[in-house]
Amino acid sequence: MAFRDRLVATLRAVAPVLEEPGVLVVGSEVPNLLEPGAAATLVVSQDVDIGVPLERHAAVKEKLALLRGLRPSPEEPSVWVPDDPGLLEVNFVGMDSGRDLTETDLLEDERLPLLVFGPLALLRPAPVPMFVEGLTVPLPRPAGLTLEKLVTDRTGEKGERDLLVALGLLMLSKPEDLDELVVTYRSLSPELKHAVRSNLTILSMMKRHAQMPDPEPERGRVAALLSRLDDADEGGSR
Amino acid sequence: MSEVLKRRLNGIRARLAVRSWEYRQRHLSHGVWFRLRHVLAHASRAFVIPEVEAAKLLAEGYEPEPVGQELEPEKTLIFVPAERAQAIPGAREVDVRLSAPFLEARAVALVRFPA
Repeated sequence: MAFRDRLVATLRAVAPVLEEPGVLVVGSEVPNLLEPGAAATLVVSQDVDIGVPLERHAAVKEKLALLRGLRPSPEEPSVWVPDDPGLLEVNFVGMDSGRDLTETDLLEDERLPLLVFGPLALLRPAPVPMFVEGLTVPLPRPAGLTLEKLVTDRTGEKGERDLLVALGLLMLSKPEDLDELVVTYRSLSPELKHAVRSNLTILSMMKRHAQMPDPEPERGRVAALLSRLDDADEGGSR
Repeated sequence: MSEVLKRRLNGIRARLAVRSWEYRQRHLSHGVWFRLRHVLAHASRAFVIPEVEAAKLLAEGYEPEPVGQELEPEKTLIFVPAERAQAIPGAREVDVRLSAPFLEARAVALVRFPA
């Protein structure tokens, strides 16, 4: 079964949750969905991340009973695992638009506990949802998600894959998305600005990973963004 | 509380603490790797060159990147136009990354991405 088919089938399976206002598909599947025709050729990932605003947590829990083909992992109930090999794993994560970007916390709940990631406060819904094979898929604006990937501190293979997801988003960003990214960057703390620029330099040096965007031919794009951020920084966080 | 989530949360908080420490150290020796990557991120190409050729470039007025002087042994890193880099006798192009050929070189001519 083609990866795109599994992605679309999974989105169909979680459609009742996606209908809840404020819920967003976040993470590595976003570049796939932003490709023309949601071609899903950029990033091969085995899960779909669903961002749940804290104020919609109760409403989302109500919708969980409507999900088909997925069930909560016994060890980790914020992760829903597929019963059907034609589906991908689904990870629910908490979003709190008012949260400090450096604070990550746990929302305890019997049915749907959530890790609430501070950097997800950078996400803003795209003005128009994506329509994929009859499904309405709410996505974040690329600028906020790119920055979220660049400020989130992760290590090892997961960290490198996150940077390559950021690269995929940059490859699909329009000039106005990059303008928005620079404006949002200006609002970050010096420490987070440094994290963004540091991660861009790491991205620029990275080798190719299988089934991920190739950083080598995109180094010029990364350098151009880094130059804009250097200029925006006025030396404050260097 | 989910033990798995609790472990993940503790791991995230520990990494954030390390990152904050690294940020505070950024102007000291710990920050040299960022400064070196930052120079390389702006380079489209890199050429390992003989030290005598690096001296000629400096005599021509090209400026060395300060981060090169922070390394031990010191490394001369100089941005030059592409045509000048390719004309350097003995220049050997290497990948623009922190690879062995780059790290072992004492002098490297770099070509900046076009603005």
